[in-house]
Amino acid sequence: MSNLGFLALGYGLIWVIISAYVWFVGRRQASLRRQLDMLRLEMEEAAEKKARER
Amino acid sequence: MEGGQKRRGLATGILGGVVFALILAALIAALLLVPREKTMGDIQRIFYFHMPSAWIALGPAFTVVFALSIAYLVSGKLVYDRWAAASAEIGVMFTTITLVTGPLWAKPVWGVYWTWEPRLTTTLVLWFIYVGYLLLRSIAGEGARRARLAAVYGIVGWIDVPIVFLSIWWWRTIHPRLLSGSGFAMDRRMFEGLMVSLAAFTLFYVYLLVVRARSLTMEAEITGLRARLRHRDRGGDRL
Repeated sequence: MSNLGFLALGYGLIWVIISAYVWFVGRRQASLRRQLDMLRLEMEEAAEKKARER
Repeated sequence: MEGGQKRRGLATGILGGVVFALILAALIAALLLVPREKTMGDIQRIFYFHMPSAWIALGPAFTVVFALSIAYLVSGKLVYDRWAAASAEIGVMFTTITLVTGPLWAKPVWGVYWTWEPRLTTTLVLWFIYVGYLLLRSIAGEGARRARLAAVYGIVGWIDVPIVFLSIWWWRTIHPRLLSGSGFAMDRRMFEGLMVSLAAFTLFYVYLLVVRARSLTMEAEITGLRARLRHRDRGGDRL
């Protein structure tokens, strides 16, 4: 492989690693946000139910 | 609370935009603007992303793990543990970049992808240490026990960081030395290109740290809410 081939492969791999990590972080955060919203809703509903019962 | 979240989101978005622009500028500088190195040729241009990756791992990322691990053991505040975990994860990502780009630079220059010389070996050991840190966190459960174990590991594991840094002065090595007695040993335009890359990678680290630490805070919040819901399901009164 030529010098430029190694250079292209190097920069290509850098972008693959960075993109994979950023994708992982973004996906994880979106999933956590959904879970958190659902749990908050569940808590609110439970609190309202409890208030009505009293 | 809602307003605060929006402001934080906007600030993170702006920081992300600045990071993207700086990385683009660093890429253009590395590939087009800095002069071609006379002996090594174009492959030396990999240096402008290789060295900043190593700097992030050795400098901020793992040193922040070390400092926050001490802060956790002293204070017992889990927020330090979460930020340490985020920093370790990012450090592993940047060390991976260093370990991938190094051999691709070495092959055309040294004739081999890998040699067991001190800088390379200690960097590989560093990668294993922090992958171990992340594995330990994933198997150690949750809460204070995991935080305590991770903090002790984060402090002991950091010992390899100065060894990696000083290895090129302590032992005979073929790894290039960037710093000499009179500062950075390089052409002015190369130095400027390197500074742009260092600024881009440092801000990228800060950006990732903020985003990842926020995720880990959300995880902790989810764990807390689930515990409260379980308590309620068991007939507890408090919500």
